[in-house]
Amino acid sequence: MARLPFLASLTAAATLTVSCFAEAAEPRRSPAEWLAQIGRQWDEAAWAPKPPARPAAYLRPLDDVGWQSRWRARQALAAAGSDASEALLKALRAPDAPTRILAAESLGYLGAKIPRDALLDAATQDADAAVRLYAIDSLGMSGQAGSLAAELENLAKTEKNRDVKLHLGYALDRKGERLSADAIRKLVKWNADQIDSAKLNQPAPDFELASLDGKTLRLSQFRGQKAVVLVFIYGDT
Amino acid sequence: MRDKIADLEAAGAQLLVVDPHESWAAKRLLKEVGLRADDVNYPLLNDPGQIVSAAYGVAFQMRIHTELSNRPATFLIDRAGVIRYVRRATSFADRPSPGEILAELKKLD
Repeated sequence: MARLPFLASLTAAATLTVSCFAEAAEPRRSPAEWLAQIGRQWDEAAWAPKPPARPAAYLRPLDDVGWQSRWRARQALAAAGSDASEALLKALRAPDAPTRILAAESLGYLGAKIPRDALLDAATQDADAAVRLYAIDSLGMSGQAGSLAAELENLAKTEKNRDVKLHLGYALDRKGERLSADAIRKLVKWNADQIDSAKLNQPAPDFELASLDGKTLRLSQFRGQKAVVLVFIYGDT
Repeated sequence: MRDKIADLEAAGAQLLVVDPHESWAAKRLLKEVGLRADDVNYPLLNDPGQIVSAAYGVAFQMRIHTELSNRPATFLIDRAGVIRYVRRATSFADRPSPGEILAELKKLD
């Protein structure tokens, strides 16, 4: 399906919809509209337990579905590609941290052409550690961490947050290696109607992923052979 | 951990672990403890973009320190490819025990 490039305007009245890969079960939205609707569907206060907690680990209520809006928004932003840059740059300066976090994170899926300076600025100066962390990740995912090694090393000297420092390390490790175009393509092409489709007593959604040692593995390759214990982890940050 | 994986294998099951990140953190961690990727004796699958995490209903449900990541969860899938057990964590330490997993595996055909 050909992607039709439209310029996204900053004013809601003049906003044009951007064609994306997802089937039109969802109303078509511009990047700016996707970013704006997150706040309506995600109650930032609804974490359990309430802060402060040790360790600092909080979970959404089991019946919460705001995460699905957030996931679809990020997919739509990735699908819009450079057409989403303007809206994302604006969102990187939003007054609320969740919007800035989503913007910083989504920029990493736009491929090579992302606003390097704006992300470096966010990585250096944003008051919220998660914004800084995702800005650093996105610089890495876009392949710019190599050319920014000196700046990232300087940041590592002044950054106080443990997780942000770790992610500076990962960016320095990966150097210029970007997130694979294949991974971005898979994200953009995936039919989001399959979101949350794994149900008890139903066929397990099949998938294909690469393992740490580089081998590719399909869930269905075990059918008829072995039962599978499938464990999702939050991953050591 | 090695014993627990051996128990799973003896019960005819395959452990798969899905990490919603690219592999940079895992590789650095292994390097720091002096291990290599092939020292990990189960498939540690990377899910950048969190497509599989979204299909299985766990993406973006846990705030862990500074990051937004997967809700920990365990699914048992039988040899016919059907999901026969689901456990989604509702708190940081909420996980099924290895004993519980083995007991559930015994219930499968």
